[in-house]
Amino acid sequence: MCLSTVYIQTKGQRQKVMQDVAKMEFNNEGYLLTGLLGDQKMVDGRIKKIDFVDDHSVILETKD
Amino acid sequence: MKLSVCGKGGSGKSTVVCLLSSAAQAKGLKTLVVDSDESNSGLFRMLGFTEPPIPLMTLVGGKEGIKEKLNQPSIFSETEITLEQIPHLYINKQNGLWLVSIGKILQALEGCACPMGVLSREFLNKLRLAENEIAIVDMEAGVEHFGRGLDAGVDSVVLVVEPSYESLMLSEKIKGLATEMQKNLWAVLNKISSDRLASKLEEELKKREIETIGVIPYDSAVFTACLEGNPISQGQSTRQAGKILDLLLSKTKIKSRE
Repeated sequence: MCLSTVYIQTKGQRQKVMQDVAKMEFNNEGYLLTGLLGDQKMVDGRIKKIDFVDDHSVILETKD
Repeated sequence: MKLSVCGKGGSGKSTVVCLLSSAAQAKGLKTLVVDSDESNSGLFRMLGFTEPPIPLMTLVGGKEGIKEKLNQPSIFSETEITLEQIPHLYINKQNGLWLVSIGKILQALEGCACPMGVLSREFLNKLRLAENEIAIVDMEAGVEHFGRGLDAGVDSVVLVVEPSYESLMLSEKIKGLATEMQKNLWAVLNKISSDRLASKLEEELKKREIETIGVIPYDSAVFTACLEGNPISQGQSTRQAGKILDLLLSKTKIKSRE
């Protein structure tokens, strides 16, 4: 599946933020995620890892 | 009840979808066929429609002009989708038979079909049917739809098996995948020229713990209809499909009560 799942990680604990993410835009507040079906969510954090092959995941880490 | 029809490419999935949908109509069920195959484009003709429906892909931004014209929120923002909620522009209707299409690959280099997989999965998950309604899903060939989770939203999986080694091997794989997803699975044998051949295939499937629910015979009328892109006329195959549908309905009800 080419669409990604975005997770946020805090102290090693991973939590799913959104699946089937079609677009991820950075602005001053963080990342604006847009799902394939048009749903949107803001999430703040730093990108820790993007996996383009296995599980198509984007891992964000909370800022301390 | 929601049924997905899957199997090897060329095994006769679309033919079985047409036969089952015709049998469902004959039983007075409101029948929704979901064309979830992004490659083949002739299903609408085999079901007796003159034009294909506008794909549901356009509802999520495929063609902005149409979206604006509709001027209504997408059905995908709802938690449940009933047949009546599907906008008329995206559905073909005729004598109790409804047809929707998820989307088709239209151009070279247009990218992968993953968004169609997501849309199919969401549509099938959210689709809510009444007692007198049935949905029959024409899946893409092979097994990728299992990987994409499309079958999660259906009650039972119908596996179409043709007399070939490849078809048997794929059946084994599909049985494993359906079991992993905790889905009921039954096989329908297609293009069968003799009772002996049917017994041999049934035996092979039994070894793979797959129950055969019916046999569609080799029928020159079916081949001609498929060649010309016409609906299949009443005959031996449609009678068999009626029996298969009855069994599917009763077995799915029994399983859901367990």
